Amino acid sequence: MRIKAIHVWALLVIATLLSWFLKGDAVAAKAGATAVILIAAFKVNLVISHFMELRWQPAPFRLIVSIWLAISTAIIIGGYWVA
Amino acid sequence: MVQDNLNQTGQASRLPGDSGVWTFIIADMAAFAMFFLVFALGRMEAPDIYELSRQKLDPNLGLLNTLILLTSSLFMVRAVDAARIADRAGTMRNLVLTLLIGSGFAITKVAEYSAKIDAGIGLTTSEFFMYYFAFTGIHFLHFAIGVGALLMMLVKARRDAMDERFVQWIESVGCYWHLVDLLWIMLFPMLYLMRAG
Repeated sequence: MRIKAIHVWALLVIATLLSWFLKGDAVAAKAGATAVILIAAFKVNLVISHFMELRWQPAPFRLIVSIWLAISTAIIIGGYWVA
Repeated sequence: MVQDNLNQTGQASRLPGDSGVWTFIIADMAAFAMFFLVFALGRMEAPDIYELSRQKLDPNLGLLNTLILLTSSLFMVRAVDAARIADRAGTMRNLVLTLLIGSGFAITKVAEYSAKIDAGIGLTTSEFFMYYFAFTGIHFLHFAIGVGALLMMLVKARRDAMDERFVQWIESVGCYWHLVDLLWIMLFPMLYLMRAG
């Protein structure tokens, strides 16, 4: 079942505003920074699935893009925690 | 009428847009993954300098640009949907809205760069700002190319037949426009929101 684009957009906006809340002093810096990147990854996945409409078939584009998202998220969060 | 990219029957679904465009999108994403890596490695070496530099950015403008691109992307989806049912007026209307809302990104970005330059902040201020200007500058170039592609689609939507070929064109441009959005979704928290612990 395809989710309506306006609902996906609303979810993206809510996730963006949640990131905005997490950047402040209300949460510990490390937890907040990690959460904002995980939320960004969730948003990117929404864009790939519902705006770009990239499915798992035909292969291999969705698999490559998903691996890219996992690696990019790991790089940004990993670099932050090691610093 | 062209089918959208659903997979409700269990059969293999269709790739939206042209496979060449997808090859370009993936190559481009790989380049940005390298950008994320050099930024992460740089930050590991000097987290304090990166944090002080980050605090000089205006997150309000970053948030505004995120909302602008997300909303512009919504109208891009609607333009593609209209093209699939050969709704010329709907396609053009949504393309115009995609462009109008998206152009807000350029206004905000110019205001942001101007404020930085006025404050004496440039490429050589710190390694953070070198990456900030390089990454957001390259992203802005993507945005500008996307605006050009959207203008081309507006011309095509006005004069071309609303056939499968047109749908493939608009899907390709749509996926590129969503790439501009997607890259910003990652750049925004990495540059503006990651507070040092």
